[in-house]
Amino acid sequence: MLIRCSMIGQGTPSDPLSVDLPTYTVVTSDATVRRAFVDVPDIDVPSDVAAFVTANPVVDLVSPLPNPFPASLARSWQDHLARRYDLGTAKWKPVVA
Amino acid sequence: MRVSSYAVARPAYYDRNAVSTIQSYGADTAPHATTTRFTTTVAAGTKLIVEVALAFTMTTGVATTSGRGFSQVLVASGGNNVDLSRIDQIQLTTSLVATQQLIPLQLTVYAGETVVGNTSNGSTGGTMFHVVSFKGTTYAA
Repeated sequence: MLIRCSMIGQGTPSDPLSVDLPTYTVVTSDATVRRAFVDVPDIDVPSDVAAFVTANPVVDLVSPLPNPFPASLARSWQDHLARRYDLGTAKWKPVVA
Repeated sequence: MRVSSYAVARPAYYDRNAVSTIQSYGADTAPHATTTRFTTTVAAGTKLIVEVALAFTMTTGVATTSGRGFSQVLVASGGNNVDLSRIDQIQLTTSLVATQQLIPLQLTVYAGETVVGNTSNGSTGGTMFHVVSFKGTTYAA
């Protein structure tokens, strides 16, 4: 699933700009606005997050989201990834941005 | 009554629900900070054998001020990294000079570990074509 996410990191070799997801591929990114369109495996995206992304389409890296990404969905995504990768803790904290 | 026991060998990894895992990123880009282009994290109950990793760079637009660029595929485990394939290149004053490193491997990546593809270009102006990719087999641990 194609999702526009916020990027983390300093852009250095030891702390690259990246998206806080376990598995993804960058389609395009912008270090200035710190966002990237990434292709994420469907199995890594809970249905409520997928529904939010579908209901809030964006066409570029700079336009704001039609609606802010709710904290409850952010938590849902973290928990989903922790379960899927069986870590027990929410290691990844991706944000639709 | 005859009692027998059979020692049945466990199937080879490629016969244990194996699927190909491929990640690839390639683009002509302006100078940029070090950026992760893909990650693949191995989920619990599975392992991944990386069979080939590729890093490639090519100057496609001459820089105003040359800087160092690189493409890199690495494995991250517990805060430590090891490069599988890496190419560094100064963005040259001549275009279309390519460097490539294609590494055949048989490297096991365990649950929780991550294969990462990074690119970077520290020049001012110009463009560089980067490719980072790998192919592996994910299977039941």
